[in-house]
Amino acid sequence: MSLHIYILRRAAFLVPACAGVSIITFILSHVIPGDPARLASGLEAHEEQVQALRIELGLDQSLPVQYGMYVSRLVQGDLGVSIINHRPIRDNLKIFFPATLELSLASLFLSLLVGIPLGVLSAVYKDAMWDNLSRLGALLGIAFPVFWVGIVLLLVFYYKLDWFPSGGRVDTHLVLREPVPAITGLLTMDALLAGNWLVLGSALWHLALPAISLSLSTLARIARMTRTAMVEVLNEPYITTARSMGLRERKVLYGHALRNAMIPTTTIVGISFGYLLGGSVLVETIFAWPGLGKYAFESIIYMDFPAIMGVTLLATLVFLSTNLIVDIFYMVLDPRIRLE
Amino acid sequence: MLHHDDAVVPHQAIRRPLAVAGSILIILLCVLALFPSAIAPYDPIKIELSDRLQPPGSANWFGTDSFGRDLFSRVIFGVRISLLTSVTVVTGAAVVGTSLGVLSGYLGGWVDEVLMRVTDVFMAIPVILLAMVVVVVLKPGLINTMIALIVVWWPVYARLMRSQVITIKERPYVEAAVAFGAGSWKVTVRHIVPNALAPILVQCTMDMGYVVLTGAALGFMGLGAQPPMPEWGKMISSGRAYFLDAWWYPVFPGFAIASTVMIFNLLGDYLRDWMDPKSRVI
Repeated sequence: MSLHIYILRRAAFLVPACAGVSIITFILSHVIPGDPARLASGLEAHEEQVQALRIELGLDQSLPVQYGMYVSRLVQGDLGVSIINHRPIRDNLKIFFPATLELSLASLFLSLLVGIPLGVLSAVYKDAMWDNLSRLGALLGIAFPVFWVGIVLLLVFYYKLDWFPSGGRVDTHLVLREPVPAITGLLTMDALLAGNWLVLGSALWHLALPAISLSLSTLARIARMTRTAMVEVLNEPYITTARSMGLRERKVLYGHALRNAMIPTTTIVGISFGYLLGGSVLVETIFAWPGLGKYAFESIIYMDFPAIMGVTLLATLVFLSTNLIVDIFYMVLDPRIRLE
Repeated sequence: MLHHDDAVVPHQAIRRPLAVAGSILIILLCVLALFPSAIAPYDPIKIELSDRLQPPGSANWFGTDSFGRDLFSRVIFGVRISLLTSVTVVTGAAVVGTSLGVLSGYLGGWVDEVLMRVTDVFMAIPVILLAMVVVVVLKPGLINTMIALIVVWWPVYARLMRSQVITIKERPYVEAAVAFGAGSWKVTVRHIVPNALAPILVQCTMDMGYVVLTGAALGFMGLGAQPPMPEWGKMISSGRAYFLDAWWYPVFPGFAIASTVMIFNLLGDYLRDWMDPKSRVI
């Protein structure tokens, strides 16, 4: 089937998927014990006030009607109000989302930058010392919890060596002195676009440790999958043909083998974004990175349920969208899929 | 009836020394889980403030925490919590998931469609976030963590079993059984399921490690086993407050988590080579 129809079909799936997730979040938010109207009014409020609030919030209606109201609010972008500071969740999400996006993209970039060459080398020098070392490294990268890695990196590179800062996104005095216009929301990109090298440097310096922590397990997965795929591809007849026709080894590896090996690796990238989003809750807390993850972590401590639900919904939407993009990329990479 | 193409062939495993090592390590873990007091020199819960935040030494191999408790003993007692969590979660998720998967794969039609959509929705939510949400709703605690993780993990098994059933359904020996008059239930239980189990068991073993990781993440967030229970993730979280002065506090529990994950991963890798060579990661 043609690429356009495939994209449309997959994009259309986003709707029922989000609907399904909204049902789950709606059910979960109604399982919590306690009366939301009473909680919002406060313990000393009169019963009539609480009842009035109950009617206003629609809590006296049947569940399907309440779900309908919930969805109509969702569609308008109303994610509710924080229990803690009574500000709309949507505003908080807007503030924190770019920081998490920047961290996730940086981690993904690092994983690909280091993971793919590692996998290729592992495959080319299969069963040699290098291969065994990097396979062990991959195993270690997955086995150590991401929050532990962050703490250890801080211990070594901040506390002992003083090479990197302990947290935050940038040196605030630099940004105050010469503010950077927010075009993309990604501080590094915006600083680059504005030509503000000091802020760019500071932002990259702050981004380093959190991105490295978050990238480790994805890096390991990508390296592993690239290795497996490359080993399989290098055994294919067409590689032997290419070599026997006199093609230089570099062209064989990167022009032919890697392009085909990238196909299963792309799938891993899609799945990994889910781990990156989840892991950011932990990494952002450790490095005081002002993103959605840290916001979610704090919301848990304060039991701010609407905030937790809001972050989960947004993260799910992002995850589904990235998977869609990955699938489209997959179809572009592998024409055989299109013909199915 | 186990058909030779699909079923388990044990004799090759004995030749692989690492697989044997992996099995020994698992047994060691089980021993630590069942008899922690045999190895742990101190009481994991008794507070001894005069010994707080001692560095690793001959008296305390891993040092002490902020309450003066021996970290080595706490880590050993923590094996029990982690192993219990992973066994319960993997068993629960596998039982629920494979049952639904068998139904879905065998019956097909709208049952299959509905189940696929439901698993799609569950799998669209990042693992840690979904687990986090469920635990917050149910209130933090060890049992609720296990429930949350089962809720997160069952779709993987449903999908895996479904695809196995769909493939095996078409095999000649199943057709033969049906042609001989075997009823649906008999066909399913005696022919399809036993031959479908190999990848499921491999997945179970690998997942044991990943459940420990996710459980530790929940523990780090304060959602898992509550203090004074020596849960590794919570220990790292508590240790974080002191890590500049007492590096041993968060570091050693992390090694415990990693070792457990690696042991399960190793075993899972070799189980896969043994039982299901077709899906080998070379």
